[in-house]
This record gives sequence, structure tokens and C-alpha cells, in this order.
Amino acid sequence: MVPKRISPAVQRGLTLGAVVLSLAWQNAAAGQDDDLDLIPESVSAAQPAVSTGTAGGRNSYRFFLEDEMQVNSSRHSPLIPLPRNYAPGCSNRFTFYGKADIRILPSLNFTLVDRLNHLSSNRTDFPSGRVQNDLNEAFLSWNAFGENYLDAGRINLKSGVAIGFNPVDFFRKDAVSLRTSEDPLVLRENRLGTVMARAQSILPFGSLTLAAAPRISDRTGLVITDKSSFAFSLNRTNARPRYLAKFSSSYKGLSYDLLYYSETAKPIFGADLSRGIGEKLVVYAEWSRGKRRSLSAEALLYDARSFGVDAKPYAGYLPGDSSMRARNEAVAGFSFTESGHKRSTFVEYHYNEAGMTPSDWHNWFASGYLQRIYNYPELAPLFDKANAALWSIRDYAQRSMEPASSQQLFIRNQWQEAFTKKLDLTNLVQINPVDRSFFAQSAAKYNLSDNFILSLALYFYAGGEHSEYGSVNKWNVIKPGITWLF
Amino acid sequence: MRTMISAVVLTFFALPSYAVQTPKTADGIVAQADAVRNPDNPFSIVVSLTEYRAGKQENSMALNVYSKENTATGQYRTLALFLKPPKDQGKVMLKNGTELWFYDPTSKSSVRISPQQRLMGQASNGDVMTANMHKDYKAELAGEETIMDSAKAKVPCYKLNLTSRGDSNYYRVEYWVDKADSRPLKGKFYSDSGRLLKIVYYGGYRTELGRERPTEAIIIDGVDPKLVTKMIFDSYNNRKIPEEWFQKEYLPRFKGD
Repeated sequence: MVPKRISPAVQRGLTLGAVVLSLAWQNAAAGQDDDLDLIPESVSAAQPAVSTGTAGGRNSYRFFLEDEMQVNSSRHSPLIPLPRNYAPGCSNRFTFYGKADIRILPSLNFTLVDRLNHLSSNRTDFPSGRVQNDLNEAFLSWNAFGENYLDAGRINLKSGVAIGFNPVDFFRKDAVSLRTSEDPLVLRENRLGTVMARAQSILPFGSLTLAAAPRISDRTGLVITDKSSFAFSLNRTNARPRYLAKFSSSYKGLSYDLLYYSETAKPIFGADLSRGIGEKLVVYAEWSRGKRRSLSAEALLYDARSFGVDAKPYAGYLPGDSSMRARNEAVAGFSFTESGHKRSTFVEYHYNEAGMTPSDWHNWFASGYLQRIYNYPELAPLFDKANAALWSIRDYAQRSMEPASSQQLFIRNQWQEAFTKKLDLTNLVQINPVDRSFFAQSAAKYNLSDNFILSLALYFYAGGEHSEYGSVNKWNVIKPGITWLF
Repeated sequence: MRTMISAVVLTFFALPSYAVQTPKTADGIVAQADAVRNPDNPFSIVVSLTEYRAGKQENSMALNVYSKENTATGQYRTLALFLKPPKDQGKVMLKNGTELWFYDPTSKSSVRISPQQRLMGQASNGDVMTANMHKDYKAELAGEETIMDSAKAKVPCYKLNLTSRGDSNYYRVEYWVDKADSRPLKGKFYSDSGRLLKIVYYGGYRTELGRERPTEAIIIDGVDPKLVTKMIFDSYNNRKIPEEWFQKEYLPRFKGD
């Protein structure tokens, strides 16, 4: 077979095609090199901003100074007035925070976390104020062998995977010393540890933690109680003997913790689960069950124990089922991350069986109606004390880091680099789904530099007069602040 | 003739050079490039990241990263301790397969995060270093190209098209590997919608842990090309990293030393 001769025209066409293809190939390669033009000269020439000697370490320290003001806007004549010493109109907090992790021996570490606060307000002795030192943690940690540890001292032991409410975080009660924010994540930073001994064994497939916290109680001792500026406030964290056993592991991406907790010989069981689904979603749940009284009954007992308040005369005004019985606490939630923005949202449903039911709230407000009907001066002292007892229930819920109501919706959105690289925003909402009142907090942090942060937080309480959040005597709060990290 | 060629090839391939041992399949090339980036044994590095916008420095941070391959899955598990800036100092991020945890020492709490949430931070840029491309992606040899590396030297390369096997952070990657010694030089990382997310130049090669490894990467944001991140890798060290360290409960105890 003779090959067919190619005509000159076709030859020219093929040559042209080859040239075009060759140029296209070169252009494609050149296009790759164009990417280099996107790198500014200053970037290519830059040296590392961090020296290589900072690879973590034997000892580490962290310090910051923080000043924050708070200005409250009060509601006129709330249904249940607050006692006069509650919630000043304007206050200021100046804090020195220090944390040190010191390696004493190769297998022995010492951790110290302390906050020294100067607090002042317009209602008391502004601007002289008072000093409150919070020794958050001070403990020794011994790495006995392998990944087996023994810790002793004041330790912040936290458990749970949820954000807004942690039923299995058994050491949370009464541990927040200063309520610097309504954001649960921020409140965790400001909490007192419990004096305990803790043993932890971390294994390739999971870990086992055992903790025992003794009762350390001295109602009159100035060092042990929270009655002096430099007291250890052990009456808040070690009022009862407590024990915890916790097993943590994961199976095929499902992480879980199983917990057993005992307080004054009353056992509570708990568990939490978390799992990632796809690239953007994490789902989680947390649950505990154990015998306890209702929140309101516990609050009144707490007042009686801590402040010698006898609530019996006001029992008629107070909500509650005071029986001791098994009650559940539960959280179900998810977090979702948006791919186009640096935004994550946590959505949670909280259930607190000991919390106030709609009929409890009705009783709570009944006192207010009575006060309006029987507005006689001779009854004022009685009503004042009743109001204090009523508010102490809500105060106790805050101290216990649990919802005051039996049901709550919680949404928290954090947005890094919002509008500008230096701005981080956090918004959260707590909603009472029954009376539809809500609390909202917006917090902005502007990173002036690596060391200086400006902050501004706004609180807003909304709802009807006889709703959970509408009955709060404040309707909004403004909190500007500045932090210097060094 | 064919026998001679085979002999020459065999002679050269028998030389103790890493490059000439490379099987010239697409997967083989990617595996060899992975070996350049990732030491065989558990290791730690200090990573400093500086972010620039239009050439002007905006943010910087430093991490101490501990990495160990999971021999069962081939994935690298990493523990990253934040060294700087001061507001993030002491925070720890754990990546163990699909389990991602973020520990904040101030609140003393570990929060489980999604892969997307991890990608929000600059720390996610570490992915482009410790990703096991061979395990995560199916490779296809797209041809050979001479490109300029980050030092603007012309280097003959294999060009590979990588497609996610399912669990990776990027859907598709275009990848350029030095023909001579399997050094990865450039990658372009795409989302499943075809959007260009990152362009990465690997450079600053020097001997670390027994062979030439990249000590810098320049990452150009695909969405906002004025945003460029420079990563410097330093203090390569072989480490004994126990399996226990990849448990969530270990995070509060991780000191990065």
C-alpha cells in the first residue's frame, strides 16, 4: 500500500496547528509561572517572624491585664423588684491574670492560675472598691510512668462536649467566682478549681480518670471561706465530699465519655457523645441522671446553709417541688461551619428536669401580683425578704451553671475576622421556648495588635413582664474593655 | 539495543539515589513526593506563619507540630501547640482521622470541631504540608512541564492531576513534582465546585532528618490572591510520640517538649 501524498495546503495546515498547539502548551506553562507574580517581593524576602527557639516547653507563663466597665440600664418597676444590693448601675473590674506551668523535675509539674481583681461600683465605694483574689488552680502533677498521672491540689476538672450547658460537668456548681460574661465559654475561664486528688491513665484506646475531692469546711475561717480578699473560697468548691470516675474513648469517629459521680453518697450517672458528619457538621449530646431536689428547693437550702436565711415564712410565695428524686439533665446540639466565611454556629436544646416549670414560673410571679394588690407599708419588709428569696433561686441557677427553666434553646455564633481581619464577633441567644422571652449577647473583640485587644459586649433582655427574661430588672448592659497580654 | 537500554536503566535505577528509585507511575511519583515532605518516623517541627495582604504583614503565628503516621490508614495524625500570638498561646489542636479537637487552656475545655472549622484558621495551612497525598488522592500523570519554582529557577516537572478519594479537605489538586528528585514544588488546590482555594509553592529545600526537605511554603489564597501566607518550617526533630497522645484527654497535658 502506497501512502497517500499530503498536499502542500494540508502540510501548511498541520504545521500551523503544531505551532498553535506548541504555543498553547508554552502559554499554559507560562500561565503556571504567572502564579509567581502573585507573590509580592516583600513576602519572598521575608524571614521567619518567630525565632526557632520557641518550641514550647519546660516552663510556660501567661499574663494579662484587663479592665472592663459595665453600665446597666434598669427597667422601671419590674414585677419582682431586685433587692437593693443587687446589680449596681455602673461597675468596673480590673484584673491581673497569671498562669505558670513549671517543671520542677522531669516528671513533676506545678501549675498555678490566679486572678487578682479590683472591683468597684457606683453603688458602693466607687472608685476605691475592693480586692478579690481568685486562686483558680494550684496543683502538682506527677507523671508516674508511661501516660499515667497523679495530680493533687486545686484543679479545674471539666467534662462535657456541649457549650451552653454541661450536665456531666459535675464540678461546675458554685465554681464561677466572677460573672464576667454571660457566654458560658468565657465563664469557664473564670472558675475556681476544686481541691482534689486525681489519677488519670491515658491508654491508646481511651482514658480512665478517677478523682476524689474531700470536704473542707470552716464557715468562720477567713482563709477557707470567701469572706476576705485573699481567701481560697473552699466553702464553694469543697463543701461536700465528691468522687468522680470517667472513661473516655471513641469508636469509628464517635467520641464518648461515661461518668459516675457521687456527692454526699448520692450517685449520678452521665454520658456524652460527639460525632462529625461531613466537612461542616458536628452533632453531640450529653445527659446525666441522679437524685436531687428541684432547683428552687436547692436554692433555698443553699441560702439557709450559706447565709442562715430561713425561707419558711416565704414558702407560700415560692415555686417548687422539693422532693428528692431522680431527675434528668440533657443537651442535644450541633455545630455548623459555613465554608465561605469564618463563621460557626452552635445550636442546643437544654433540658433541666430540676428547673422551673411553667407552673413554677406562675408561682414565682404570683408574689409580684400580691405586692401590687397589697401595697401596704407594713408588708414591705415581708415582701422585700420574699423578693430576695425569689431572686436567690435564679441567682442559684447562675451559680450552678444550669438553666433556671426546665427547657431552653441556646444558639451561639462565632465569626472570626468579621468585616476586617482584626475583628472577632460572638453572638449568643438564650430562649425560653415556653414564654418566648430571650437574652441576647453580642461581643466584639478588636485585635489592635498581638498584645492589645479592645472589647465591647452588649446584653439585651427581652420578653413580657411575667416572662423569664422580661422580668430581669436590667434591659440592656454595655461592657467596654481592654486587655493587654504580655 | 533494547537489552542495553534495560541494562543502563537498571544500572541507574540501582544507584542509591532516591530519585532514580522512583517508580514512574503517577501514584509512585506522588508517594515519593510525600516522602520528601513527611519524614518516615514520627517528627516535630516548628511552623511559623505570616499572613500578608498586598505585601503588607497582617498576622503571624507559630505552632509546634507533632506528627505521626497512622500505619493502618496512612493518614498523619497531628498535635499542634500554639506558641504565638499571645492570645492563642497554649491552645492545642488535635487531628486524628476524622476526629478534630480544639483545647483552650484558659477555659480548660476541649471542643470538637469540624474539618471546615479547622480550615478557618491559619493552622489549617499545615494541611498542605502533612497531607498524605498518595493516600488521600487518586493520581493521574497529566504530562511534563517546566515551571519556575519559588526561587524563580526553571525546573522540569511531572504534572499530576489528583482527585480526592473521599476524606480529604480538597476535591482536586494539580501537583508539580521535580522530575529529578521527586521534590514537590507546587500545588493548586480546588473545591468540589471547581473553585481554586490555594496555590502552594514549596521551597527552601535543605537537609533535614536525613534528606532534602522543604523548609518554606508560600500559600496564595485562591479566592483573594492578595492574601499570601508564608510558612517557615524549622527545628525538625525525630520524636517518640506515643499513641496515647492522640487521645482527647491528653490535650491538657501536651506541652510540646
